[in-house]
Amino acid sequence: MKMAKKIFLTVVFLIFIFGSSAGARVYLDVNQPTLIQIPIVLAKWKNVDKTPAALSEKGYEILANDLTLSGFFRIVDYHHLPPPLQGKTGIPEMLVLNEWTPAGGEILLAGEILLDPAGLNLKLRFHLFDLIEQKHLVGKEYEAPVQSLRTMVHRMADEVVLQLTGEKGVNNTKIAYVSRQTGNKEVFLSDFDGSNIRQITRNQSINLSPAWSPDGRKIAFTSYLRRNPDLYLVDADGKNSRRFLDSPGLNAAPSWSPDGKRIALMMSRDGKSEIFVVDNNGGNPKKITRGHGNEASPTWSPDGRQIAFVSDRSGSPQVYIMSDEGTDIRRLTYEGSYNTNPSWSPKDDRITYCARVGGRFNICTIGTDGSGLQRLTSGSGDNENPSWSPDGRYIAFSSTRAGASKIFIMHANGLNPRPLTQSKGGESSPAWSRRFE
Amino acid sequence: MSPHRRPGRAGLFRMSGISLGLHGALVVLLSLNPWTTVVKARPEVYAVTLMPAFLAEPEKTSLPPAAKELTKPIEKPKRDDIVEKVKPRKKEEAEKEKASLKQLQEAMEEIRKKAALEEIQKKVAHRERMEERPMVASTNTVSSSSSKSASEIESILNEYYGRVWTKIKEAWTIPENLLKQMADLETVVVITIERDGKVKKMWFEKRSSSTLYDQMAMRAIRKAEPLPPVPRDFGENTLEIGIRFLPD
Repeated sequence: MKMAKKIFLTVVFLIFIFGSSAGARVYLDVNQPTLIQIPIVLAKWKNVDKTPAALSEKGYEILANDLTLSGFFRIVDYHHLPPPLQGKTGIPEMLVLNEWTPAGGEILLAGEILLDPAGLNLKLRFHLFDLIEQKHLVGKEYEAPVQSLRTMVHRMADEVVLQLTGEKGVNNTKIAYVSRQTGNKEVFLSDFDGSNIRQITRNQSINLSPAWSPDGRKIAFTSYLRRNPDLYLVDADGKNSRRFLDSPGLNAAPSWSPDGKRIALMMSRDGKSEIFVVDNNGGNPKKITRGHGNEASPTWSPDGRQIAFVSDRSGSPQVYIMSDEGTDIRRLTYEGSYNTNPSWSPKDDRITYCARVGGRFNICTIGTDGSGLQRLTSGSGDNENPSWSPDGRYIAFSSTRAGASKIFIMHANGLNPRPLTQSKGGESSPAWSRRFE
Repeated sequence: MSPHRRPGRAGLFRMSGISLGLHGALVVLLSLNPWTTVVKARPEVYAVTLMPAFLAEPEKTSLPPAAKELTKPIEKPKRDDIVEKVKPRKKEEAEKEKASLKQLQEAMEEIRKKAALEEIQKKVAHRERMEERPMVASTNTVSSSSSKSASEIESILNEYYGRVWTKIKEAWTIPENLLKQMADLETVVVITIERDGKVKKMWFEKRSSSTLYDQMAMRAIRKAEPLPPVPRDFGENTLEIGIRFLPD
């Protein structure tokens, strides 16, 4: 009631009338929408023919989890439906779609799963309905070997996110990060939903700052394997690890240009650390900063024409932007005395970075023109190393909010933070891949 | 039944005078074409169809390692009655009207600024009482089907609009994580309300740059259905209202 009153106070209700009576049309301004998570009903999946129920249950569970993790939906699980709807499976006919109105959702997702008699291939079909407007939104069918169930369901979830939010989901992406779970610092990979965790490096050394190539095939990282922090490349399946740059001093914090042809990194072969750009075969190293400070943490703009980086040239570490030739340098951050780890949004509008506020590290974002600074974390341990998802909707970062440092994912507005994996901790430096489709 | 008077009444009267004059001009303009004013002011053509595009052409992509993705709806969705087409209009004609309407809109903007908060609050406070209020006879007949004066009918309607607004406002929702992407959008939906409050027709008069936002606007109206029954004193069988959806 109080809320309603407030709405009336803040909202200007507009009436203006043309003419006198007949043919008149009044316009009403309806603003300040209520913010919600879209309630989506997930009907029980149908097992076509002799498809084992365990398969549909598994698929259902992956889908419900994907949609929950997206942060856009409130899942209405079939277990929580009114009794007549609980056991209802299969794709409903349009004519009886209104049977689902009591389910309490705005959207209905109905799925079917079919394992071929040989037990090799899986067919997955789903249809999405709008229960408010009583209409069909989309229907798709996927076919793949049975072991690809998870990938198929992720694609399905991506499609649902596309239909209902206007952009495809990121369920088929991976996050590379550094983990100490083996006792050393090794590079690991995890799917967006925290499944499929795999160890990529096994050199029992200290491996740092992984960075995905834009095509998702390779990961660049720094390793102390030969005592000097050299730059290495490894294929995304963990094979073919090779040393790539070994100048004396640092070869660290790599960032691929969006076209994958160049890598920016920090090197200290001339004493203090500077930003260099090298070709993707390691050739043609070019120093592009010439300031008197230390320069670090380069990150490319999505158009490949600019690089944001950290410099202490003003006395404290701050984020700067320059052209990829090292010209047109401008300072981006002014708030606070410690701003590091920039990452440029693939949507080009914002840069996320780590700021020290009151002795703690927190994740911020700022417009590329320096406007609209937002602090996304606060009062929850140290939060560092932000990395954007390929759709620019999420940020992965490391946080000590739950004790030992772990990778977390949150929406770019700071909402819905959740840990990536169920590990005990010791994780840092997340790097988000492109979509694998 | 008369509307609550606000301070600055003289000013409002002056503005109303200007408005009346401009309305006159508008009526002349309108007499040349039966289409409503605001449609004239907006030259674009809006053909609304909510049928998914994939129905026309199934999409085929492959899912590695060896997957096939088919677009294969099992049944055709029934066609909604939301489909509405607006005839294309000549550009110069629209331009001319646009210019003459600009002044009118400016004057209205003034009125609009003054109309508002207290009035709504009072209206809402009186909502229920007014609902049950017996009809008051009047000698000043204007409308063909009513014995109410024009100002009384206008007042009844204004109160009705307040109730429609409340219902649609309650149904106007956006996923919280999308709000940032939805700044500066505006969608205008025109609806035709039947006597019993059912929405007979609705169409986009103005679409925003986001299809999704437009869909959510439509959905808000569907969720708000049935709207309050149209007041009996309103002479026509259906009532047409424009709803402008704004994100903030």
